[in-house]
Amino acid sequence: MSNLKISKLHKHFGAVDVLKDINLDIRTGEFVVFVGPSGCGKSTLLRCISGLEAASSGSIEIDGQVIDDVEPAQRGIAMVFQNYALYPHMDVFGNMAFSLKMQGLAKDEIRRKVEAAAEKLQLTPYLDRLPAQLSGGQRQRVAIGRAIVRDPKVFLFDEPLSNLDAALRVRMRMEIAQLKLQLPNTTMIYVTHDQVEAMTMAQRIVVLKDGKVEQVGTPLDLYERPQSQFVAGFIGSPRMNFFTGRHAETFKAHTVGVRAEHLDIVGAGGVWSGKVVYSENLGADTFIYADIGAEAPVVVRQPGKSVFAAGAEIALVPKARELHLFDEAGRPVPK
Amino acid sequence: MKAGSMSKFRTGIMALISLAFILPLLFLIGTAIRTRQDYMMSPGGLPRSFTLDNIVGAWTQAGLGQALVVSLIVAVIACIVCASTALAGAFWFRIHQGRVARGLNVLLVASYAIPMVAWLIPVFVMLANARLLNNIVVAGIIAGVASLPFAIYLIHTFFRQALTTELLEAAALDGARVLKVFWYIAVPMSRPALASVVALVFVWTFGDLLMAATLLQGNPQVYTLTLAATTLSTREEVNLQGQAAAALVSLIPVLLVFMVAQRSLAAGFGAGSGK
Amino acid sequence: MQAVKRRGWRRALDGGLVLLVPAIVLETLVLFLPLVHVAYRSLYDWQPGSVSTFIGFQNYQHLLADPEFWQVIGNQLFYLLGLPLWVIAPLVVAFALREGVWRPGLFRSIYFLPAVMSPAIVGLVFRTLLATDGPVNAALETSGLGFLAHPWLTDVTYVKPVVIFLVLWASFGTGVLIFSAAFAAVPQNIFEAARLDGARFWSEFWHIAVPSVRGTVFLWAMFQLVCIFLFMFGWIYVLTGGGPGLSSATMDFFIYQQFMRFGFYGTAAAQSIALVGAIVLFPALGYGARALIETCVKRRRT
Repeated sequence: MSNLKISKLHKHFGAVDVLKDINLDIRTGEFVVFVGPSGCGKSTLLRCISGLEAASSGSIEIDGQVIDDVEPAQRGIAMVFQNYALYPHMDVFGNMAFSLKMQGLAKDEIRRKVEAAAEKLQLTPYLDRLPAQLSGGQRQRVAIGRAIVRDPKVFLFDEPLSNLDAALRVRMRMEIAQLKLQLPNTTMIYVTHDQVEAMTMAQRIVVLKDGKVEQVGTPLDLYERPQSQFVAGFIGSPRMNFFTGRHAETFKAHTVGVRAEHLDIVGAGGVWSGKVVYSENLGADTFIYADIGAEAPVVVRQPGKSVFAAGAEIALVPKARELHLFDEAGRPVPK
Repeated sequence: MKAGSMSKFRTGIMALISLAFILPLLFLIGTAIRTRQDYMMSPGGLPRSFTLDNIVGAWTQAGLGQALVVSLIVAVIACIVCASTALAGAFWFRIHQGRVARGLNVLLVASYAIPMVAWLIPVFVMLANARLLNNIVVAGIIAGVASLPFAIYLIHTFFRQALTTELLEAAALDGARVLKVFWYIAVPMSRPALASVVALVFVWTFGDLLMAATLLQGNPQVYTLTLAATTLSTREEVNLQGQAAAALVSLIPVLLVFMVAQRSLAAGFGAGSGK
Repeated sequence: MQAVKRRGWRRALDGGLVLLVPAIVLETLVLFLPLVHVAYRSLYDWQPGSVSTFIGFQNYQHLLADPEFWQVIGNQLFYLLGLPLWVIAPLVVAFALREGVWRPGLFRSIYFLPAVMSPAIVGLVFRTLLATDGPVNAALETSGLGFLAHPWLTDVTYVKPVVIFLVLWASFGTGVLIFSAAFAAVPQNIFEAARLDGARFWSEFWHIAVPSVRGTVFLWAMFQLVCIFLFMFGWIYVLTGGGPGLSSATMDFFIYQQFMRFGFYGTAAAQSIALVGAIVLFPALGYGARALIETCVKRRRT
């Protein structure tokens, strides 16, 4: 069943078109990630769903009901903000209870709901603390708890981890994934510019670019079958190698893309050859950067500790099945 | 000089400068507690006598006890009027940023530059016609409005930093309407800014002479402390020691406020720097 | 589709005009309407307790022909000479207080004391201190510096500079506080870098410190400018009574006297409007001067 349906959504700020003809169908209980470079409109799209921003045209439905004119608080959505947006003068309990208080719930019911949510998020010992007395991760959990108590149909996250350090980000990513398991019927929409976050958390990813949906699909879909050069380059790390000109002519395409792990190093007679510029040894993998006369050095991923000195001659063979061919417009060319 | 090290030279200069602020106060205290004869012998020297007669005399002669009560009432009314009005107005300006709202904001803040003498003349005439002169409640309200432009500016500056758009959005999502956001979020949050405003308005109203000398000068029963102390000083029969005693008494409340609310006062003035 | 439809979070927080109404009503009643009234009445032969008649710009003509008015304007311009002192003194001290001083916070608090004390009361103290037979002169005599003793407040030559120094005394601590806050907001490593480059106190001050807080310097100068026109009444009233003659009177004192003492309401109204004009004119000149200086500096750099 479709939980959230967005049709023909447009949004412009003055003369600037931020969102152009967005159509999306999100199922109940799905975890969907909006990803894209900054300025692609992903946050604006999330804000249109939340009602914090009004769409210029088009409509949004939740559970079959058009909510375009419904106020943010009445849409059955909850949102976790980038900077948490905790009320600084209220303790954790007060922050989590505020929306229930605004709904006019009875005191003991509020207490019961807040305590249940705090239990779920291991916040019980901190209920009487002020936000300033909490660590970054705890604040993040309070922000989530504040959303949980409302028992929303749709749960929105706006780059919630971007203010945390790297280690904490990985841990919170796991916690949010676990939270999703605990709330199987709650739809979650998560906005990030970090494709790793998108790949690890999403059931489906929506890639946005310049206010348009570039591709929708599961993480592996996007990785293996990118529908545009942009998606191919955006998803995956290290970035996909792209060649144009004579390197691409061999394959009768405008652009050829190949991922670092889909290049084999051969002794001689490879498709491309050149010199090693630099190599990065990460322990489990080694990334070798080689100059083969293309615009940028090509990255090759080798398992284990391969040793290539700078300047060493190298020949490369791409795995033919893993090549991505694109035309001038960046659209895929059938092989 | 080397970085990080203490400089006796620099500290010495700072101490010398601070004498310019301490000595007049010491002189005031010294004059208030010494006898007239002692002062006449060496006005610039150290006191060689001690008496509380001057202070007691000034207290009774100028009715300083009553004046203190009047000053407190006027200052408290001014603080309440100014802080509550400015808080509500500044909040409205925080959540409305259209062209009209911005224009109104500029207008209400720029009125800081309207000279007090200019608006005080018609206010005086108007109050005289309404028989509201020498009324401490009215004087308190007007003193509060006199500080309103600065207070709106100060609290608005605070809200622009502390009451972020994200926080307002969170409140909207939580289902709070404008008055509830004001009451449950803006008001409790604004404590530091409010403390600054209250401390400043108190100090300004307490030390004001112009408004008091215009609006309250008709009845010695409603003289503020500042007005009473300065009026006393213009009476021929009162000696220097009496004046000093009156001045000293009238400074004590603000010095107390200064010690308690120094940080808030400093923050208030800091906000005036337009950072 | 409707032309303009307020939606989004701002709609949820729409309204609440009731919050703004008190501020508007109070300021209108106490500040704006009276100002308009003064402007209107400045065209009348306005006297207390008598029928006033419309006399056009006669009040202003009288004003322009009145040597006392021009003397007071002259006083105000003279006081403006104190502006560099009022700005530079707290700036230097705030800079020096940044480091190498024992308990800088204590000194800042002491300097800040005058900000909370009533100008009228402090004026009283200084009137006594600076009296011709007062303690300052007595101390100078006894310490053999009698040639420095002067009738500080009763001599036309000395009274205005004395007022300038008293304004410095009164505003110094607030200035130090504001500049200290401004310096604290400047990234400290530029000072360290300057020192590594061999800058000494004064070169660091002029080349690094002042440019890095020049916005605050300008605002403080404008603030002082407004103060010298608007908030001098308490000082002058108690300290000198505008005297000797009118040689230390400021505009606000002069207007108060015309109004409360002599009952020349019409003249006082015209003077008030002139003061409003000055309050608009001088900061405008200040902004103009800043714009001019900045374009010159830019041109020299390119």
